[in-house]
Amino acid sequence: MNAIFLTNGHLLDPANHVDQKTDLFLQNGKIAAIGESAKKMALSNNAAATEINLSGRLVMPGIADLCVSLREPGYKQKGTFASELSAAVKGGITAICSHPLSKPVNDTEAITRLIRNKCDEFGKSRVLPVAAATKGAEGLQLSEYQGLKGAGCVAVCHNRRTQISTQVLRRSMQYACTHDMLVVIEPEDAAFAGDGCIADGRISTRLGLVGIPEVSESIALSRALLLAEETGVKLHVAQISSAKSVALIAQAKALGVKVTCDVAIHHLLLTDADIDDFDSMFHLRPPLRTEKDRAALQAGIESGTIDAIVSQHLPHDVAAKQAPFAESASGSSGLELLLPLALKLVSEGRVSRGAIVRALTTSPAAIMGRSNYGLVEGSDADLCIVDQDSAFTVTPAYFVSQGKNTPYSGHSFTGLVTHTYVSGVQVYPPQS
Amino acid sequence: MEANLDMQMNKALSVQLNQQGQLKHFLTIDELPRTLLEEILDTADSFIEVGQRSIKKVPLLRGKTVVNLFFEASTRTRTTFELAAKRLSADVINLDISTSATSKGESLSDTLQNLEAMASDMFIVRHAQSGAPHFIASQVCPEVAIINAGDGRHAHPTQAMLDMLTIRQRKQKFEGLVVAIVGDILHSRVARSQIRALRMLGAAEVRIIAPNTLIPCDAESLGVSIYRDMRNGLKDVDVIIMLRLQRERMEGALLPSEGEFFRVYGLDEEKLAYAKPDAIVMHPGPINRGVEIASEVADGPQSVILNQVTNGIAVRMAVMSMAMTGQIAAKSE
Repeated sequence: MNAIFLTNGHLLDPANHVDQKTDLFLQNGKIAAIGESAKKMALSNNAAATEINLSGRLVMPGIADLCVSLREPGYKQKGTFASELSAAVKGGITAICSHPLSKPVNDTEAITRLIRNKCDEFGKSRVLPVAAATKGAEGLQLSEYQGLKGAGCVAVCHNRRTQISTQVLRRSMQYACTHDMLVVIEPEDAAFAGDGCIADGRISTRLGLVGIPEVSESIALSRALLLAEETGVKLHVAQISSAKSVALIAQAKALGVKVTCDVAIHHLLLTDADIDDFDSMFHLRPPLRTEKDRAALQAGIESGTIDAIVSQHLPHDVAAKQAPFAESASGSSGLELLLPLALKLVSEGRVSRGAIVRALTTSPAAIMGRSNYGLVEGSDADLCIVDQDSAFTVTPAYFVSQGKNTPYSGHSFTGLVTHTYVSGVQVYPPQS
Repeated sequence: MEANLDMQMNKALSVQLNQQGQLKHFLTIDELPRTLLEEILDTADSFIEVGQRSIKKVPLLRGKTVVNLFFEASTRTRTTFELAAKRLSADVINLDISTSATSKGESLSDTLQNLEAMASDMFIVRHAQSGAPHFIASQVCPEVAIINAGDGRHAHPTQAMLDMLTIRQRKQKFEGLVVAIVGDILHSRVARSQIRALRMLGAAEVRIIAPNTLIPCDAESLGVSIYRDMRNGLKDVDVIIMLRLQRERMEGALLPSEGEFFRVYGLDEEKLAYAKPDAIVMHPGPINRGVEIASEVADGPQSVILNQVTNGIAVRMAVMSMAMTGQIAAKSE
């Protein structure tokens, strides 16, 4: 494997207190040296290292995305491992947690191994599967957590559309604790949310769409936090969407509950007032909420109450969105927009750059179980290099992902990834 | 991504109106200017006379094909649309979609594109999903004039306009009027469209009267005042609009029983006495006697329920002829 010498980059890794223009030397899959020692190592390197002059571009640890639906197995018309992993590295994402709701649902060692083996063949982003916490994601019987862990699952997930009794949820946490398995919960009271497809409020009332009350998230979240406190499980809360949830998480953290949480990038940028004339591209779960919620979520990233930002990548075929709002599929294709959208929050002055970079990189990596991650000597050479000034407009042609579904069509952003490295290998742009 | 209301409004207008500001689809009252609503009422007035002739036909839609697409059952609305189209000399096809294509798994888009390929000029659409006519007009068949005959909980704009015509006939103008809408506001597309039309036409106050379980979230944002007590809510109103109560509401735990609803919110002579002596009583039909309205009120001197039905034909003729004109003009834009 060739060594790589990256010069004149602006290294940014707030968790490791790195914020400077300097050089990086990558060797044997690791960050071998930073700064002066990198220069020395490049000079003394016998096998000539590939030198790339980054001329001031931003060098960050690779983005770690905790919520990605790769669509395989089962939904090849919406996305394949090949298409979605290509999209991931284009977006500077070097590690992803794959969501369990494929077809079949990932609830066994065999499916976990299939996902890992297939994805490893492509040699792009690292794929860390998350399995369904209950068999078939039906909310009734536990999946085999010990076996799943052995196969490489990093967490088991209680999906928002599955009704689960308090008894089963508590046992799932107790059993996960036994095997030191992380439990992920998508907080929504499925029965209560019912046929809802939009936040309950002014917009649902005007459009006559069935609303999902905010309290449906608060109730599911409160129950999970109380059970986490009681069982001592490590809990990760996926995609909170309300100011109330931010407050509940902050309170639980203050009490010492072992909880982390994330927010989807959309909820930091959009509100339900953006749902323009029944545009099904804005059909997202959890639903977009109010300006007050958006502001609280932004503040939650700044304070660290919210640990991570996710793309919640959910690619769809065209037909899935070609329907009246409530009948259309929810979700958007997000891998290639996560970073530019996050940088927009920085340029608008809503969240500091440090907080954004942390929430995209080192914090979610730690939740995935990767300590010693970041721009430090000896850590894995997973990097994302960005030209912060390069602008682009969102069109179907922009997407490498098979899913072209997005609420941001026609909008322009800045911040294109120029290089992505995984284990010291350039995975984007693809090398012929 | 700041919400840009002006932009949203323009976008909504561009779906319903052509560049000259003429109606080309009729999807919702929302965002339509007052002058256009008044034009609909004036045009409808002129068609009332057609219904009184011995030969009740005008040739405005001669040679045009109108397809009644009812994805949800309806008798009265469908019949009045059919009559209206025939009085305009159109060829009318009634398709009972709920038992045909879509139940065989064909998507809504495919069903409609097939019908469009048969050279249809206008679709009258009723659908259980809010926004379905909007989806059809903006994404599937923008060149076919789409008339919303009721979508989910969202809008029923021709019903609202025939109600406005009835009110204008009795009260001459909207300024100063206090209107109470009573009953299941939460599920009512009729109420949403009526509220919007009344606000736009200049009514002084629109009240909604209902228990909390039947009032939508943030209902104040619709521009109404909210009453839970029927007698307070009816005090000195000029117009009372009673909404139909569906039996399913009891099963969904929104209400305990029809009996209790009638005791508290049913319109009988005792409660009617709180309104102005010349108040009119309206109902979009079909009425549930003894559930939302007592027979003596429904059939009483203040009831204009049958006038509403007659006006329905004239209003639908007006909207259909206007949308067809606007659609033809849009194609030459």
